[in-house]
Amino acid sequence: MEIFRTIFETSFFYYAICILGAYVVLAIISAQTLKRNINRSKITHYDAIISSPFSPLITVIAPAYNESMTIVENIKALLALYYPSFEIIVVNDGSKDDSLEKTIKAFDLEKVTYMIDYRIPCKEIVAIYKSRDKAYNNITVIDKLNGGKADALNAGINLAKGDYFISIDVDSIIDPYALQILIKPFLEETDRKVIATGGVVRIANSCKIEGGRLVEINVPDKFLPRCQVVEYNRAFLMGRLAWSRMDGLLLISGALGIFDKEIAIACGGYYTKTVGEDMELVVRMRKYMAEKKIKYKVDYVSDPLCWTEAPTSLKVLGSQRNRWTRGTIDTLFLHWNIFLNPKYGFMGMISHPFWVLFEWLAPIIEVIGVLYFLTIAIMGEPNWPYFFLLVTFAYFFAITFSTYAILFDHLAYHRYKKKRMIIKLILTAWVEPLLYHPCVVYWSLRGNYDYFIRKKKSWGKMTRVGFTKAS
Amino acid sequence: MLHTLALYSVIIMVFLPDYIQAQGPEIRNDSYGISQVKDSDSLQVSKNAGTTKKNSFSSDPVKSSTYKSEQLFQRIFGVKNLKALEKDLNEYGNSHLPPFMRRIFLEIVEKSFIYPIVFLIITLILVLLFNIISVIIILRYTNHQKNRRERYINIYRTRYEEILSGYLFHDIDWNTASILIKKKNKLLNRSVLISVLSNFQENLRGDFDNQIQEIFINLGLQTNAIKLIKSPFYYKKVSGIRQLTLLHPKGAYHFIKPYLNHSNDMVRAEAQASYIVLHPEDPFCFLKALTRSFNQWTQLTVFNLYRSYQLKVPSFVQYLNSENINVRNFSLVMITYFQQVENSPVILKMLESPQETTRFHCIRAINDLLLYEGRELIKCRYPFETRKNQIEIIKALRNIGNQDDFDFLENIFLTGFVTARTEACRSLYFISAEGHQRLIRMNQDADLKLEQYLAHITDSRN
Repeated sequence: MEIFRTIFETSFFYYAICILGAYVVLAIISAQTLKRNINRSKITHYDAIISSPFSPLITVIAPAYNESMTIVENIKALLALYYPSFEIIVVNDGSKDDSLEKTIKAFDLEKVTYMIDYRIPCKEIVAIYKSRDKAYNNITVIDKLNGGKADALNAGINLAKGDYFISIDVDSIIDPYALQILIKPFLEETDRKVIATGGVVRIANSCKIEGGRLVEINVPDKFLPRCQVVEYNRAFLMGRLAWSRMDGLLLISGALGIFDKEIAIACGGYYTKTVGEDMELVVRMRKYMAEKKIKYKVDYVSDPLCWTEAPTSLKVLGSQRNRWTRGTIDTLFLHWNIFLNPKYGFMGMISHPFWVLFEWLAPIIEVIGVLYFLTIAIMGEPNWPYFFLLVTFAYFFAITFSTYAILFDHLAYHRYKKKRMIIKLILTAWVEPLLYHPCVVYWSLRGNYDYFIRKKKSWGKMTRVGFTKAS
Repeated sequence: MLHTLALYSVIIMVFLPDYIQAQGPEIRNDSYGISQVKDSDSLQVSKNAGTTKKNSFSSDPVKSSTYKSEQLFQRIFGVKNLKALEKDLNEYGNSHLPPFMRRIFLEIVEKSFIYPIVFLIITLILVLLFNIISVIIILRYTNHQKNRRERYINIYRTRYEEILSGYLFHDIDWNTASILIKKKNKLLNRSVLISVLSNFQENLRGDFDNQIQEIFINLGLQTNAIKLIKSPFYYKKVSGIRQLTLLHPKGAYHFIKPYLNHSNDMVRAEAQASYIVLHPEDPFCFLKALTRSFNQWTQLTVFNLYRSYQLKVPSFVQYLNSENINVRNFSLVMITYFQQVENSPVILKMLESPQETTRFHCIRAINDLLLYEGRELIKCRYPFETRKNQIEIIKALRNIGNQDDFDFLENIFLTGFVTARTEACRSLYFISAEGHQRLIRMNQDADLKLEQYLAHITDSRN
């Protein structure tokens, strides 16, 4: 019993040290990368790509399912992207509402005959629509049987004419300059093939939107979205940036990512049997390149290029986090042969094990730790002075991390200009570890339970309130 | 999710002292694989440091943990080192500090050696707290500064624009303008002035060019640009090169050359773009001496500059022999864009290139330049080409093909993948009316869904 306890407690101790150390290292690398990216973006001019006849064609794929309320406005926002050569493919994934009818009416669409090259299997495409109006020449609408987001994206890839495709959520707001910024890494690299690039996703709750564009940035009024602002800052500016710098990025958010079409097709496109299709595709593409021994890179742009509406209710947020957890587990297990496999380089030796240990297992280990502690506490054995000291340490560590994330965002982008906005965020950072974090842990556990016990594979309901309209 | 996990995970650290305690002194020497430290040594140190005796530890968890943690420190740093450190600190306190501070200092030293882990954690907490407070102060300060700076820049930008446009459009003379330009020696104001002048230079053409350059020199702004070029930071170098090229081209001439093969891609790209502007007689001359990569982004940039300055078009064939693959590909694209048909033999020769992209540009050149002599060559290459190049070959045949290619296209239409079949159908249909007849005949022999293919290819939107 004593030996078991010793091993158990030692493991927890080293786990805690590793996780804290890892986050500190990631934060330091992120800070350096952010500084580098900001310096580069200061001196980058995009005039050339905007006016060049050689700008590569980009296909924007927007899967839509029951988006009747916002679909027309969102497509119009996509049409206003500043890029000389792009097409928009809207995939109506068997919506039960009148999304398709509204789109047909708004853009004067008609059915066309199209010879589809099914390079990636997807559910049956019922019809393809193009506009009679030349102003909407670059819009294609696919009407297909419902097969989920991954399947809809695969259908879009089959019709894509561009060498690169961007997958977006039709309910997100894309920065008008997003395409020119996202394509840059593909054109800059000569020694390695850039296979994908991701961008920073931000929370748009309480921001003012006009004609599908963000006109005023605000800190969310509600507590839950505000916590997510702090959380997203941490994840994007203090995590993914560092991973991209170390060439170990495994996840490009489904809300905005650009991919090399041929590589994505060679890998078989999006995997339809997972709810974490965004991460799964990146891992599979990386794996493919490593197996083919082609030098490659997954890049990451630190500019905030996509604004999304964060869930405002515990139920919806819980459902989202549950799905993220299941997606993570699915991807990690689908590609388990990467784990500590030197053949896959940094991804195999560091990224994948990190995700296993500190993303998937973290909430489980955390709960086991808490339960173990409670047992010890009931039995009256713990060392209370040490306990309080360490809790204080952990709490301040959490706040330090969040505060630095807010600072990074502020120094880099200066989006939240008013003093009260920053105060709101800092206060949220102080409360978040106590109120928000336990919920996140609970939802992650539910995700594990749903994945392993209930074998759940569905997305769950994701209802949105809608953006604030500018007056 | 990321960091706050630490909150609960670190709680587990609380068990560390218990863990050490659980092992007891007998097994402790082995558990870490360090057996040099004897129990007697550690006890000795404990006594020296003023701790209670070993027997009392088991009854008091804090003290027992302290004893264990002390031992851990001894194992990590070595007993002798710790002893020496304690002695040094005590000596320092006794000899260097004033009496009122000495007592506090010595007490802290003593406590630190009695409760090392507690001391360490408290120190870490204080460091974190200090960090948080510092970050909040920085946030408060920088927010204020940034807002102030933005307002300041906006005010001066508007003011400078008004004065300089007044001078450029002859509403005021230079002396008046010079007096009206306030704070021109301040670094921030100088950068605002440079930005205003750059905007004018980009938007105004003709005689204004010289006038704007004169203003730049009169205000002595070139010294700032030269300083930037000489800076060790690449982003400053780039800004300097850009400012000098735009506003003082004569001065920039000598500075650019060393940077054409600079190790930093952004400096290199900027220098190459500048070279185009500064050497209108042979703008792409630098390609011959290029030893580093010439990425697509730079290619787009230099092409854009080249077009906007309407420079003389050189013969790009001279760069096709370059050892640099980026240069070769760029030249092929330029040959196609500028319709330099006289280069056809070299282009056809490049079809043998091992690089897929080079072959792609060759096929496209054959198509766009209507190089009929390349028709058979690309047909021969078809089975060995990548999918992308195969489609490009079929597309080329639509423009340069004739009736001799019908069998080839028919074969693709019958056996190829859907996109190849669609393009083959398109080529057959558009080469001549006979091609269309061949399609109809084929469809009679077997149901090939020809109507659908024809509907697809005749709809210009597809």
